[in-house]
Amino acid sequence: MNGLRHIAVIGGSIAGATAAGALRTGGFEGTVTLFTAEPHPPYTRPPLSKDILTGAKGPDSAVLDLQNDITVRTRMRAVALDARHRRIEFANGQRLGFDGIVLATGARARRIADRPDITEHVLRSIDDAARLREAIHSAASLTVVGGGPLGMEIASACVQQEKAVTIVDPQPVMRQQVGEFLARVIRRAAEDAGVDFLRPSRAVRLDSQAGGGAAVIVDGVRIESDLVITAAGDLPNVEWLDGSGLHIDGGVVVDSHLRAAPGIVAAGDVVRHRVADGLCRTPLWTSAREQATAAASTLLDGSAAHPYRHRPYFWTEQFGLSIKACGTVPTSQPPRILEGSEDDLSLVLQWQQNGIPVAAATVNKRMPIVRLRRLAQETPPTLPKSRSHHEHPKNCHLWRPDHHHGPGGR
Amino acid sequence: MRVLVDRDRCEGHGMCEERAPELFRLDDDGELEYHYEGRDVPESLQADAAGGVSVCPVAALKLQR
Repeated sequence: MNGLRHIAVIGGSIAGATAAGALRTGGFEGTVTLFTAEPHPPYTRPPLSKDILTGAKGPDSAVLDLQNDITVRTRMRAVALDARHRRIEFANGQRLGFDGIVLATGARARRIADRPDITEHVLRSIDDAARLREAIHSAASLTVVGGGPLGMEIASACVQQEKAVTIVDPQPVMRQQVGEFLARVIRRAAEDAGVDFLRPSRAVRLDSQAGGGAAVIVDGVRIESDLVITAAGDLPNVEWLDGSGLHIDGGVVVDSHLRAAPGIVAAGDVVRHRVADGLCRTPLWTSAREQATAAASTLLDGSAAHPYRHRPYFWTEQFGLSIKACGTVPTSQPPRILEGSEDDLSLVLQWQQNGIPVAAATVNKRMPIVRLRRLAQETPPTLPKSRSHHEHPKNCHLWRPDHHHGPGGR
Repeated sequence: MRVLVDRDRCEGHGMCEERAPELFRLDDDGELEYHYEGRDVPESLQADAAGGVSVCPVAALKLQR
């Protein structure tokens, strides 16, 4: 098949593991080697900020089942790529050449500390989760910097353990991801759970604190707590690709088939792909999977493979709310409530623009994704009240370019 | 080959149904119905079963070979 004998997958998260598996499913019979910089075999990130942080499940529960016949090499950090010769150099000095390469080096947590003496906790890796779980256990008061899905899930895991939690974010929490209406629902649930909110007018800074840990400087006021956790977005791991010859611009820039160069594809949080209004990174779990599958077929079948189709799907669990959303939720426009009411907190929501559905979400309601996608894209036959006669374009559901949440991008 | 369903883990995303509707289905309450529970998956459906297992975002499905 295409003369490929040895394919390297660089990265051990869901994108890397999925790509490796998809190569096998796609019929590739050569060698597949997955290289990860971490000491752990590939694992999935969504549970890190949920059950693993509360202690309900052990870190091992995040480890992924790989398909047969995939060689995993841990502690192998890629430090340089020669795209033309498809050669990779690793931190231990090894240089290896491949017939095909999947770049899936993901992203890392953005840090805000501006001094090395400040201890800054973030949540991205399985080790971070294990460390934080211990730190949370022995803290009474916590400050979470960042009110996106990750920060909110961390805060939720902390109040479940009866900690005093303050969330600091200059922006209204969750508004960018789920719009004003759902953000209000979430904030109310968080406040009912005892969370305090601070909304500074300036960027938040960290300072060192006597006895270790960090203090948060909010609009010039110093706030001390037992533990500070930063959840301020993520940065794609592209520095190692400097000088590789690839197009790097806030991520690995790829074409419609996830190609970065001949024989080199990319998938997951490291990817910046084209959408109608420019380039965008989509750090979501399902997008990482879909990109990995598409990237693997591209390596095997070239342009005969299906192009990557951007279909954002996002879920979060926090403060007793299980929220799932498809499409791009408009920030300030209110949704139509198709089922349930704001008071009973079991909802099916749909957002339209110019009479065309653009997004849909459920709160505490199980709905097959097939149906949710239909609600986000077209008028469902099963809900006659929301029937619309408008035609609508396909693939019009764009995740807002370059907003971030992690730890795994769900 | 069998598929093991962990219903405590299942959150009703329905991705398995999207990938392999002939094997998986969420009922009206969002509970997962799996057609070969406790039985071997027929040869012809094994690839789809494996596909359905692999897309589960909460690892509620496992393959037993």
